[in-house]
Amino acid sequence: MSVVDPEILQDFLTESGELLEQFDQDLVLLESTPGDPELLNKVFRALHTIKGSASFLGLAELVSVAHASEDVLNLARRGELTLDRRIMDLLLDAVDVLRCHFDELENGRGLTTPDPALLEALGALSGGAPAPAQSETPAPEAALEAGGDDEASASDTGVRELELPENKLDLIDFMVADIEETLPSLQMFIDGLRDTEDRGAVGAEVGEICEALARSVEFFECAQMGTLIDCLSIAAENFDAVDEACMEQLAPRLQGAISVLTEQAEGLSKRKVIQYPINDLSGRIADLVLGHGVEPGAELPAGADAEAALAMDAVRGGDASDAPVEEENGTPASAPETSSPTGAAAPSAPVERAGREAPGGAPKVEQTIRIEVSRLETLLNLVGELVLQKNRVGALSRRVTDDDHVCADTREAMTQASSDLDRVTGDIQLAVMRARLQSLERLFGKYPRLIRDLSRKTEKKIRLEIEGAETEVDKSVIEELGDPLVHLLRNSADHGIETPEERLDAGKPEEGVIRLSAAQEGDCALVRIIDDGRGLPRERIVEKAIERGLTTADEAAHLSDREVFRFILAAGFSTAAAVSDLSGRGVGMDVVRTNIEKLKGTIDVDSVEGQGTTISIRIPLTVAIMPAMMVGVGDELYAIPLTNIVEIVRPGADEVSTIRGQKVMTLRDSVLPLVNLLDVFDAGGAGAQKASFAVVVEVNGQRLGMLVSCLVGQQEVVIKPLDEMLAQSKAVSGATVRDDGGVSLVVDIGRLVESVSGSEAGTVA
Amino acid sequence: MKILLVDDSKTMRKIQRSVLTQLGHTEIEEACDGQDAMSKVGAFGPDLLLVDWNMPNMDGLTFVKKYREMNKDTPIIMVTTESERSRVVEAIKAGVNNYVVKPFTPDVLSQRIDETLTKAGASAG
Repeated sequence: MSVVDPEILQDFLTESGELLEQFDQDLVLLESTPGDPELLNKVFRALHTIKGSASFLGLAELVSVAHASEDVLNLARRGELTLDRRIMDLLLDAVDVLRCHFDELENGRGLTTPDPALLEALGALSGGAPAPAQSETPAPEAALEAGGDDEASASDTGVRELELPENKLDLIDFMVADIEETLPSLQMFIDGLRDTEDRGAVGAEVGEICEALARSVEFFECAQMGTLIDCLSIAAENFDAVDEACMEQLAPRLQGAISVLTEQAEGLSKRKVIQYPINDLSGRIADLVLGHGVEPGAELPAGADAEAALAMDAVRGGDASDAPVEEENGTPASAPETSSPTGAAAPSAPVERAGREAPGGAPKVEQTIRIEVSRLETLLNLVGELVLQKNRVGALSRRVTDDDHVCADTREAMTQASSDLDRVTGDIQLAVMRARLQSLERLFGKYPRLIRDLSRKTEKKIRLEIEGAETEVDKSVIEELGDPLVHLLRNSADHGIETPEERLDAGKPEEGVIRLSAAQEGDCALVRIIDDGRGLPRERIVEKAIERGLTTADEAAHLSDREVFRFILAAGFSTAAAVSDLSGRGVGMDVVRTNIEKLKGTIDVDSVEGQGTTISIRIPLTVAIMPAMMVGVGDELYAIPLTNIVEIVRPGADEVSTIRGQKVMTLRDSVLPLVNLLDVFDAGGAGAQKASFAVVVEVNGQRLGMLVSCLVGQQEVVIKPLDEMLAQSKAVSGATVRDDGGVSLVVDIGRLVESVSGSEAGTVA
Repeated sequence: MKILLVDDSKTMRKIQRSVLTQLGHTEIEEACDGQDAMSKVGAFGPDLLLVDWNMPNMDGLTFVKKYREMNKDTPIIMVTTESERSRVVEAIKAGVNNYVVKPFTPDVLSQRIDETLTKAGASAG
């Protein structure tokens, strides 16, 4: 790889990376709708684009893989190859290799040479020799090189979409009509060649026709047609010099060339470029007219016709079946196109192209700029600071308003200014947060492949349904959510969905369904993974939980299903023994929980045995800035995230009691563990206010009462991370600056709830 | 780059000249019909020709045919009207490299010129 402009390389990686992702997804989609011509064309184009740019950058290794895969897809497009599972596996392997190459490029490493076995396997499918990393040079005759080695090399074979600027496409029908009118006369001249006295005159005629034709095909950038016409034209110049034996070899080949041209012209009318391996044909024509004769073994028998010549020169077989013409059944939609005399029928391909190639003119193209994520981070941090300062100004303004010494006008102006600032800051915050939002599409797009691979590996039939992929979440959420979702989907596929036999026995459809859905729910994003598999076995989970000391038999009897299922999220619940005993479900579930909690999200498991499992993940739209309730604990103020607060009560003395050393409170029908924040934070000094309010919080379906001294009010807090040491010691998730300029700790509800249930279990054990 | 404008309408030449000037071309020569153009190509030695189709004395198509007899490479862009579109293939066979339909915007003309020159440059090199 030579020195590549890093900027161009970056552009290439971005564009091709996106194309590859799409390609990957489309391939999986293609497996369920094999032979879909639109989709086939799409995947082919994607690969073609990647290959094209890569070859510009001299990325030979990458090109070789792309090229081999492209050949296979090309055959599929022509309907000559059905993409069965085996081929699909190979193509997906190729995608992985390409992705690996992209990674290497991104990290500035050299490209690894692709596995020759893969190239060979792909090459074997397309019937050609495996494309080596170095691009093959077709060694064409010098005389015929002229138009032959354009962007579409003459050695390229197959059918591809005709790609031309719009103004040229507009004329294609006129051009095809013209060629189709011309070719028969050319044919006539060549047919009569062997019996003609004055070959020079015929040659002149043919030459003239060819000259016009050559210009025409050159205008339409049909390189291969140009090469063939050049052949005819060179032959025509030398008609009178060719002896009989030579003519015997030449004439059928020229007829063959015309036959190919006719077919190619027909292809153009359908906006297809049909390419044949014509190197042998053109080479031998050149040899013949130059009087060299053909190499041994390439002689045609006397009286051979065009087809025989084409077969001999390996352009196409004797039977027409393997000609790379567009299959009629493959694209039924193309039939009416052919009959339409002008481009007015607006065939789909050119229209689509127009949209793609005219970024300035196409209104649907979204105008975007790429900016570094770090800049957005900075912006968000600054907004955080702004929110804090706004809070201070708000507090000051309240003080001013309450101050009777300040004149009424000033107070009013202050209030007005403060509320304006509040509004503007809110808008800015929203706008910045929105700038960080990304749709889940890119994340979700990876999963069909995952499920496909899993279903192949486990020999189950699984369909993945995706809903609400357009839901937008913060960028950080996308990053953190990826792994948990993979875990959960894998669990569902691996352990949730039964084998086809089991499903049939259970009276379920053979194919299992996993639904991955996303939606906005209030200020949270709700992501659900729903399978219709065997569900979670409550009894066995309870057994396991007792074994691990997470609960007791007595307690378990009173636990709701949801509470039982929560055990599978507990750390250490997913050891190998537990996995096998619990038919595997629970692998890495605590990892899942940890990641989700990092996002201040919650996870909820629901399941009906025999019918399936639903896992719901709720994640707040933004992590860094959140509304909180400021509470007094002793002399200090603490912040409790508002999203976790269910209600605030003032429990009577009779409602608080102690069960097995754990303080609890009765709230209507239920009993909740109760902690006194004064104890948790050692704030219970001598003069400390008595804790009289209970803030009831909920996290992951578990409730907890927290006693606090007083309630201050709601405030937006910006969470600043704490020093590791401090963060470990107490149930705090960070610190924030209050509106009065002071610093408050933010209570980590998750950890508090955990510590209570932990000590509870500890007490029990 | 030297450009020869061949058009019988003075207004059209003026418009095209202004478009070309906008695109940064300064060496522009004008001819009012095919004959006039034939007499000028030798001395001027254009790098690109913009040729109108309908002209008195010698029309664009005839001019292209004649010009191609002596010069095969210099790119020619045919300036046509919508109604002449169906005949453009004739012009292409005569040796026109590209065409542009009147009326055109500076952008379109610039694009055609770029396309044509790139193509011509590629095949020459």
